[in-house]
Amino acid sequence: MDIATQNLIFSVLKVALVIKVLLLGVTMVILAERRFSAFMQDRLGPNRTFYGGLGQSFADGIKLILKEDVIPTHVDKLTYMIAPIVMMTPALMTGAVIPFGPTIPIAGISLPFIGENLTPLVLQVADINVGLLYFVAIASIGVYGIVMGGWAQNNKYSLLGALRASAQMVSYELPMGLALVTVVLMSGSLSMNEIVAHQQETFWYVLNFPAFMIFLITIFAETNRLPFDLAECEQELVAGYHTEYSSMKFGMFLLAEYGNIITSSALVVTLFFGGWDIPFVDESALGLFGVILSMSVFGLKTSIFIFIFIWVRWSLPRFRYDQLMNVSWKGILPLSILTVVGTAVIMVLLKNFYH
Amino acid sequence: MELVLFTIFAVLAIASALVVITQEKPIYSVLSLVVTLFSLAGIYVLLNAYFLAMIQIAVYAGAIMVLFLFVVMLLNLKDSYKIPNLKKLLGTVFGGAIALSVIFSFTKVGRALVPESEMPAGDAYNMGILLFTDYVFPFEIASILLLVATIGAIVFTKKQLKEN
Repeated sequence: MDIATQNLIFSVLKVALVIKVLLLGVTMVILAERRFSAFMQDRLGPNRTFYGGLGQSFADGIKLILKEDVIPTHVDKLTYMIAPIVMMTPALMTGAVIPFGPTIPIAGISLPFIGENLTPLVLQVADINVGLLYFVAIASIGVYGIVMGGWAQNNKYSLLGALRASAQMVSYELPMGLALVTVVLMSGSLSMNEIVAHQQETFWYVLNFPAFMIFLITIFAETNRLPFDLAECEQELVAGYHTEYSSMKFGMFLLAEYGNIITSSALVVTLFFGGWDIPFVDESALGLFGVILSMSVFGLKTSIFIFIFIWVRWSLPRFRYDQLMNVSWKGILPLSILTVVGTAVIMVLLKNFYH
Repeated sequence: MELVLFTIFAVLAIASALVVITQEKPIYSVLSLVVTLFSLAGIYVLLNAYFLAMIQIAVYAGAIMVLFLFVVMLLNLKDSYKIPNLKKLLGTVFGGAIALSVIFSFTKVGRALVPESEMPAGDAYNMGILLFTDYVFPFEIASILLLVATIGAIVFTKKQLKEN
């Protein structure tokens, strides 16, 4: 089998794996959120369906699919239909550039069905040299789902939700971009694989703590999670941009939200916590076991951040809208510019004194 | 494979660009402009210009068009805006002139400046080297233009504040 067909087969397999993990992950994250929130509020939460509530999200999914799909008469049909798709697609697409394990050296080994392998297997769907930018670009598309959905419903609350979401995402994208610039300053590369490799050789970028904090805060805003969920603020806007969605269309907004949480957590881990890297352990010496171990460690780190997302949501109250804008433009943005300058100075000094 | 992808992106770009100018609802125009920008990014990827493609999506589709959409939604124009005839005429003349000059420059340049095998990868490194060596002057001029625009916007808002 030639190299192109092999790459195609592996790519299809990897895409299937990533989408499957994301969709299954979403059901688990929703369950985790409900159980954790119940725990924090001294309730029990959903604990009956299939072994301690494990099947709850699947049952809810079936319920959502079987419900009547109401399309209100006053909506703009085309945008109303497209909005959930536009919301969902970027949530799944961003998973493509996240490396979830070390490269498996299978070149030259023959495998069943595929024959002799020609290239090592990179555990990442698309190893493009601008992976970081890809993530920023695709993540910024997600806002269209919210805006289109909010506008299409033709009512004040949804429109206000959509406006809030778009203003918020535009203002928080700037500090997020600057936090990513510090990462690029440290790694010297935009490729996710090289960022992980560089962290393995030197240090985890979380040591640049201000950049990490700025990125974490902005990623909360980008995923529209509390304390930044003004787009769907119940007390003021009913349910914000998805007020008049029903059935699986509503379900897709939900899927997109939790899908974004998973990919964002994975991105935080990749950029600041060494990705699949296990500290003080040489994974490549362990062979296949090392690969499995690294993948599990990556999963564990990602789960910790998903937990932090949930934890923050049920601990903090929501910002007021003017506070939200002040925090971004007057607080985080100047801080992130300072961080970029500081990191640049330190990197130059390090390069001059240690080489 | 490349040809198929190119055809898809090219047709999509042209079709959505046509929708932008023929559509009466401003919000559809904005959304189809997003599709145009996206397909252009796809064509950039086919040309190996990954960096440019991602910047195209992040800056134009992701940030600028969101602001456009924001404005259109806030105004929420009910009736479609009728363009006066003089504007139509001027638009046709100047648009035609620009289109002609673009076509002319393409025929001058020919197919490609560099053979495909020698084409450098369009990543951030090569882009950066080009921007800070050969094209440093246009790059700085463009940044001054942006600065002027920013200052202009601030001046306008200040004026309005004083009048109020």
